[in-house]
Amino acid sequence: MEKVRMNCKVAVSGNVRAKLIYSRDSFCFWGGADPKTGEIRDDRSDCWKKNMAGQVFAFPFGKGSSGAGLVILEQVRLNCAPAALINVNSDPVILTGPLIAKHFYNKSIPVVNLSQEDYDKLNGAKEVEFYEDHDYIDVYY
Amino acid sequence: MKLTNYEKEMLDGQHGEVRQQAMQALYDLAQFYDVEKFVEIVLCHDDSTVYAGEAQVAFAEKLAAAGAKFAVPTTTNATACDIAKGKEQGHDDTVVDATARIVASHVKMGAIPTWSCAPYQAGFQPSFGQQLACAESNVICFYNSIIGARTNRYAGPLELLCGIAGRVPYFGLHVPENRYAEGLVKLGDDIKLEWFEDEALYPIVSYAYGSIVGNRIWAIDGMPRNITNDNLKQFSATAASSGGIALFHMIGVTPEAQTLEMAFGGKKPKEIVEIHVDDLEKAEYELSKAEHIEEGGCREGDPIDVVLMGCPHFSFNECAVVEDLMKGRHVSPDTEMWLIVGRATVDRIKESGLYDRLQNLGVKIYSDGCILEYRNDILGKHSIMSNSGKFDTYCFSMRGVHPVFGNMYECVETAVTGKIVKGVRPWKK
Repeated sequence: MEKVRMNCKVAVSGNVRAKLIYSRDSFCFWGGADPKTGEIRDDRSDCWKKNMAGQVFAFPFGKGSSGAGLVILEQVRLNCAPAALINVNSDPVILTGPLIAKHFYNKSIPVVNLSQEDYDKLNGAKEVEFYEDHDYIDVYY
Repeated sequence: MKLTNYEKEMLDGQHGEVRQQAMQALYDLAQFYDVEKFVEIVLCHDDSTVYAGEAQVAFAEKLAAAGAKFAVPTTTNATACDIAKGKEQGHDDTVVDATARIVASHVKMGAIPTWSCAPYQAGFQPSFGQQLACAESNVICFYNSIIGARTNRYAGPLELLCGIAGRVPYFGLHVPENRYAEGLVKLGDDIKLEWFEDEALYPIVSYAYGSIVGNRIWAIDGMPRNITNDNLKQFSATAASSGGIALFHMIGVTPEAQTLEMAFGGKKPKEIVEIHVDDLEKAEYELSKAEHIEEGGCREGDPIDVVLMGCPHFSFNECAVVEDLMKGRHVSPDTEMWLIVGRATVDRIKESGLYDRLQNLGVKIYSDGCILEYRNDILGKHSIMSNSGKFDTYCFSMRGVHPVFGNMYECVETAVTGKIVKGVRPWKK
């Protein structure tokens, strides 16, 4: 696999390497993700019917309801949360679940932001690796 | 980041493990957004109260069991159902039991048990310029816009951590310079001020405003200058639903917008959009979709299964208006009318005799619950009418049924006759 290193802004840190699900659409966890399975059930998403459980889920922005935090926590409880998130911009609604998972449940869901340019290049990658102590990710094609 | 000694102590764990965890999460958030300091809050509104899955209930119980206490006065939002009458409302055991656990854990953390999405009607209202941490879209919009207090849109359960820490990262709408309007919605000359005597204009104009503005900070000019709290509540709640409005400025009405210059901080609007009668017609079309669809639709003169009011929770005054409009008539045996109020309002309407008088006319009054959790599926109700712009915006996505929108007069006439009554909007007269 070809490896490309990308600089990122870390919102929530952690170590993980997992497969990538890449979306070009903004995403709302409330109604958009099945909290019991991790399946993407928003038919307006280009990742409709894919499952984010244990995968790195990349989408540019969050949108809609402020219920995202509760959905991600329910996914953590039922072991179907994403392994990590990649955004262009993470709003506090998206960060709520990963921050609470980290500080209250010792469960790591790293969240990083990429530049729009790097985010576009991420398309087609197979896996992504995150590091607790570094402001970059390694992208495997 | 500049931290006070007390904040350093909390982060070091000297004030307990829960405060430490809450502060660490807020510290991470502050770091990510390059925020320089925390700001103390004077009030928190806790919206982690409408049952939305076991993780939510378990998290509140985990906090309460660890001895978490709110550091500032914290009001509680509506629950999923009437705390005492959930089964009568058609809710299943899962919801009723989870609601009881939510109530117990939030009270244990020291919350003020308002159980209302209109805590400003229960006597808990901040003052101009005060810093808050609020969740629940209409409360956020009401406190920011109508009071001029300052909160970001906190998502459940992040507001619990703010309440426990007693502070928030100083960013976004907490900072005065970030609160100026960028763009302006103007009512066109074809919209007459006297039309606002029909209170339906407030949710209708607001729906149009939210659709244009989205989640930006804008202002609206051309509204009446003397608006009741109930109509401001409807405007605010609808704008927060049709758009993602956390703060709006109403020129000559809201405190940060007594003049255009104030609202825009002396600058010129970057963009001006005029709304006209066709925008109002389009907004009412969206709010009252049931009148415009073939399958599953219903229109004037058709029977209606239920009229639901109290989104956000009805005020004392709105209950009194309903009694006036009833003119002593009983709700039709072919339909139902529900009013949802906060428990503080229940006490007041009981004391005044209004509660008994409305019940004697067949009106069902419930407290605490969120009417968007109405169990039309279990109760077998297929057509719904409401005066609420917020309820009507979310009705299809949350209840699977398109609603009929009407003002309070139309809603009461519909409930009394059992058949949909719609008046003529002012621009059609």
